[in-house]
Amino acid sequence: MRDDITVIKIKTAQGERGIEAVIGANLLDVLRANDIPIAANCGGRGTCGKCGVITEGVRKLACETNVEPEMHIEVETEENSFVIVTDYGDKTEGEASGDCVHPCVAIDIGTTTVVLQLIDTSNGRVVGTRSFLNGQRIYGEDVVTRIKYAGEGGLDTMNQTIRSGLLSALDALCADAGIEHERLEHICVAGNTTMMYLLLGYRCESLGVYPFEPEIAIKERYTFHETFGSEAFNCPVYLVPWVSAYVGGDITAGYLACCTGPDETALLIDMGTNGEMMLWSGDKIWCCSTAAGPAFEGGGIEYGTGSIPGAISKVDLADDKFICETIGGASPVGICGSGVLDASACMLRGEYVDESGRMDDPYFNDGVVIAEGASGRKIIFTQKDMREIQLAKSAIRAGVEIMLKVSEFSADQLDAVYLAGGFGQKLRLESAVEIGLLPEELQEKTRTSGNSSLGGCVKVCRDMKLMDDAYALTKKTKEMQLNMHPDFQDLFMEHMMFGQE
Amino acid sequence: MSVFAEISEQIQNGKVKGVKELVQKAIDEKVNAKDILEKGLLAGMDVIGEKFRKNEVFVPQVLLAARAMNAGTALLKPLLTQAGVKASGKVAIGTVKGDLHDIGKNLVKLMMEGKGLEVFDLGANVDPEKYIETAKNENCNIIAMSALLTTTMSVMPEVVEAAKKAGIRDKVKIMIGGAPITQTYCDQIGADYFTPDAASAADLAAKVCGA
Repeated sequence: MRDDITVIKIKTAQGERGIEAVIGANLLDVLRANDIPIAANCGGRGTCGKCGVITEGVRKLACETNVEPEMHIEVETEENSFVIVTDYGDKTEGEASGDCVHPCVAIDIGTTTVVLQLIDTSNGRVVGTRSFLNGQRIYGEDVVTRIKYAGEGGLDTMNQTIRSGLLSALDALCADAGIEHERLEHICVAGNTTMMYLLLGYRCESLGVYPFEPEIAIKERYTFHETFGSEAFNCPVYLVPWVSAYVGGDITAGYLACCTGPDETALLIDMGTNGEMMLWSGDKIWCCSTAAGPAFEGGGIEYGTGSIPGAISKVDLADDKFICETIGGASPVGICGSGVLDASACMLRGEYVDESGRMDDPYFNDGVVIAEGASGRKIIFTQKDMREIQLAKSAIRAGVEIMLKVSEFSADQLDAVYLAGGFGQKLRLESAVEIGLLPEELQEKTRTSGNSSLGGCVKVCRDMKLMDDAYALTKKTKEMQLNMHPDFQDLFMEHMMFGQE
Repeated sequence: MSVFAEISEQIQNGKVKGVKELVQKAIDEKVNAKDILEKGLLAGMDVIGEKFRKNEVFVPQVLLAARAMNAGTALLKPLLTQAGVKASGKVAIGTVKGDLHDIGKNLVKLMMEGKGLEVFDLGANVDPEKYIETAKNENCNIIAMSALLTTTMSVMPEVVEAAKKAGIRDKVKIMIGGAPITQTYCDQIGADYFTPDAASAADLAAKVCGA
């Protein structure tokens, strides 16, 4: 063994394993290279504080730690058991009767999760489903961090990560259904523009800077090899087209999944780090994306976490006591997006904060304890968390208000509001309205659409004629640059406060 | 309560009308304009800035306070010019090229003005040359850059280089900030200062300018 190489012992939920590493190397890089699913929302800049490891009883951030000879570490938060949303309110599911006549695959590549479904297009049935965590996640939580990493030489790595994940899932999906590879007829893929670029191995720089225009145009049809860099299958691959760098094929697919017809006036909101929105009415369509930040995904929140077992996903207040529900009923380890939303609504309801978002003393300094986890570890909601929520909710709300303004519709005139994505699926609508994330007038019309990106992709997969609609849609959609709108800043300020509507 | 304390309180409450009335009253009573500015308007902004840093008040309150201050300053301006009162320092501020996020930058600008500095706002998506040109022409003490995206922060070192090339690097201090920025990054690109929030950015700028 070279004398600058050591073996470090890593303790995870799966047990302990030894990893060879170069002394002095960055620990986060080492964990990544060995596929340890450690949380690192900021991509290793030392700002999110999520990549905690315990070594010799001290908590450190992996991204700020160098490998020392024979070190022992324990990974604090692993993210290998994420809840993956595969529902999209479509009833044509269940076991296929008899043989799968026309096997095709729909794929949704999310920034966090990836879902594949095998469809028999002769009857539209879903024959099988596979999902996995997007392995690129360890290179950064959000698309901007990944664009940056791609530009710094990480493009090939991330390209291979997603391709190999998809190839093994495709393989398993076909094996489960007893379908030979050459029988697969076509594959449809939906996802945000960055995910598509990373899949195809395109340089992502143009997606990360103004004017945020995708440099390479989409092709109507790709070969399997072009898309996956493999000859394992040979069917054509179709990508659901994007509108722009930030309003991607996942939103186009969401429209296809949700829109009920030409008479509908509706708003689709995907509440992620970049909150994308699309408003349609007959032939007219507007869209925008708003910088909501990761608060509703548990990011930037002191005790925030992803949708993992033990994450507090619901919070209620009864007689000044917080009642928390966790994912899987496990002992609380942190708060995920829907829990963060509920908690902030409870802060208002219980008057722990005033309408400006300031916590009363003594909570102002100490925060509010909302639960206790294993070995008495307190889960606390802090003043800073409240401020993060204010920024996030106002970014979304101001976006909604601008969409209504530009389209010249009032909230009353909307037939429906569809909430897409994991957070949209789990959030409690009452809490969303209570903190002003959504206008009260929309409460009754709002429904969750689950993984509408997958839903739309499945629809296209069943009926390829819909792809023409998708292309037509991207051409007629008007994209707003929210920051350029003269009213955006005022609305953003107004909605940062609570309860003045 | 002194008129200064009253003005300061109205600033803290973001009352445009109240500030205007009180400032006008003070002017009519021949109170020294520089005192009205420093002991009234700027003192009020100082309190808000300190509270903002501690998370006691939030962005909207700072904005309201700044609006009230600007209303007061507008009334004082002719008198200040007449008396030859100059800003204690000058800052060229902008969001870097490729980035459109300017709310954080606007906040920094307002809080710097609250420290009595003269701020040239170059807006968003600002070319490196534009910072240099403004700093040169206006004789700025500071160039302040903001970026919200990890993909656009890489423009910052270009501005540092451009300042060297233009031969003004020793005359101007370079401050950087924004969500993805860290002290490490600041050191790495050879900028002078990083501050994590708008209030400390304004404090530091005032210190740099010797205000």
